[in-house]
Amino acid sequence: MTGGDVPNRPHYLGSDRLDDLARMITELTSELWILKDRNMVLEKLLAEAGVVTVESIDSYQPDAETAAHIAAERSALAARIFGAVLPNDQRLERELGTVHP
Amino acid sequence: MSTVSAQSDTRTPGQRIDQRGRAELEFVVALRTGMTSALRSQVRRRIEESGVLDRDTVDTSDIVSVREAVDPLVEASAAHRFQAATLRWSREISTARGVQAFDRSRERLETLAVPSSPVEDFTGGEVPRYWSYEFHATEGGWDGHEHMGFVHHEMVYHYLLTKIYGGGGDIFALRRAFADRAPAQAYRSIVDLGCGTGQYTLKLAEAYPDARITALDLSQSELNYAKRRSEDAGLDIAFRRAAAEKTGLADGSADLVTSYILLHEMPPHAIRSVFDEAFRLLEPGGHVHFGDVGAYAGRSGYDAWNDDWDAEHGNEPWWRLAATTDIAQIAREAGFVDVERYELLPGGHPMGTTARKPEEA
Ligand SMILES: C[S@@+](CC[C@H](N)C(=O)[O-])C[C@H]1O[C@@H](n2cnc3c(N)ncnc32)[C@H](O)[C@@H]1O
Repeated sequence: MTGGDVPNRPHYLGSDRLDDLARMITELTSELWILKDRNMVLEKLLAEAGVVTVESIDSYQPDAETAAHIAAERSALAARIFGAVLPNDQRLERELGTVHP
Repeated sequence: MSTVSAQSDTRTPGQRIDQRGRAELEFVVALRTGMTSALRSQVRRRIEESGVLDRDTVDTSDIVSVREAVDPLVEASAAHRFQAATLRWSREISTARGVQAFDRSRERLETLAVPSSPVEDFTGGEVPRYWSYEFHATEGGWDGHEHMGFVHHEMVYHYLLTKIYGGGGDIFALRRAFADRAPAQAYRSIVDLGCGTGQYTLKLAEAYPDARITALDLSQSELNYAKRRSEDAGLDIAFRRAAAEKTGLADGSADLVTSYILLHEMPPHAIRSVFDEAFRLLEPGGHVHFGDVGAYAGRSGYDAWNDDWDAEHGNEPWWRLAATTDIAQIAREAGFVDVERYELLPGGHPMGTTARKPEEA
């Protein structure tokens, strides 16, 4: 169901676009919650099955290789999200990999 | 281990949806009970402090003026607008997500949702036009999914409404109290109009264990699940698909014709027809006993405004009319006597309309 399909859908935030954005953020938060919930369930079931414990996850220290891998992913995520407010050409360059964060 | 064997499984049918469905519906609850209601109380304070609804002068029966006084005030408030947007989102997605959760686990859930045989259809394919609108911002209306009854009852009620509106775990307790409020100690033959998934019907069966109960609705999916629930409870209730204004039941065949939150789903002309039909169904001396939304005239300024705003934004197209129409007068015009209009609990829903068909009728 997309926004345009609903006749007379009221808008509340002063412009249809703001309402759409709020809807997207709420939807994202919901999706994020579903994942967090699942993660908690997983941790619990894994602990019950003796595979890992919550303590072992919390006290985990990445070795150099893993730490580098995690850092790269983290930078890419931050760049994608905060890059969304950059001017178009810069964003494009970043997406194309011609600029590094 | 948390895995359960079939025999020891004490979960309600709705608790057997998948993790995604559960987490998704629980998120809606968190949003509604946390953010939305917190912002709502801010908005309420703002309205009350502004003095636009002066306790001594406000006329809540003139709801158009109440809205004109309050709406500009709340629309200037970011808290109001934000809670409205979130509320709207939650209303638009809830049923749809329930339906998806059902479909993902259809194989497991369908066996819990179907009655021994489908409820018989007495409508001859004729349903009133107002009934087929999309109510309550849900997609596809009452029968938008073959198992909408299950989705409503086990997901929307179980996960959302009981948590959002409380009711001490039993959101249906008020229905029991309303059933008990009917004038006679006992009834022999009860007709429940607009029974949905039997939320009220099963309470009637509890309150009047010796009565023969007939329950009808226009939604095939709600009816099928009502029948399933009644079978699971070991009850013998006769369900039929028929309009409340055209039940097809015999003249004088009931001593109580009752309903719970049916009337605000229909336009005033249909409410009239329902009272006429109830009159026809009742034996002389029998009772009509309808519980529905509170009349604006008896509410505080804020409550009247809030009900009306909510009805508009929750796709309740007939609520305002039901809350401003003189239902007691309709009952009298249909021939009833001893007409009583009252709030079951002061200041709250539902409002009852109870009356008697005269012995000499
Ligand atoms: C809000 S639900 C109430 C269900 C139930 N009585 C309860 O206590 O929750 C309203 C029900 O009325 C039914 N309905 C609406 N108009 C009707 C009509 N004209 N005849 C019979 N049922 C109708 C709808 O299909 C829906 O199931």
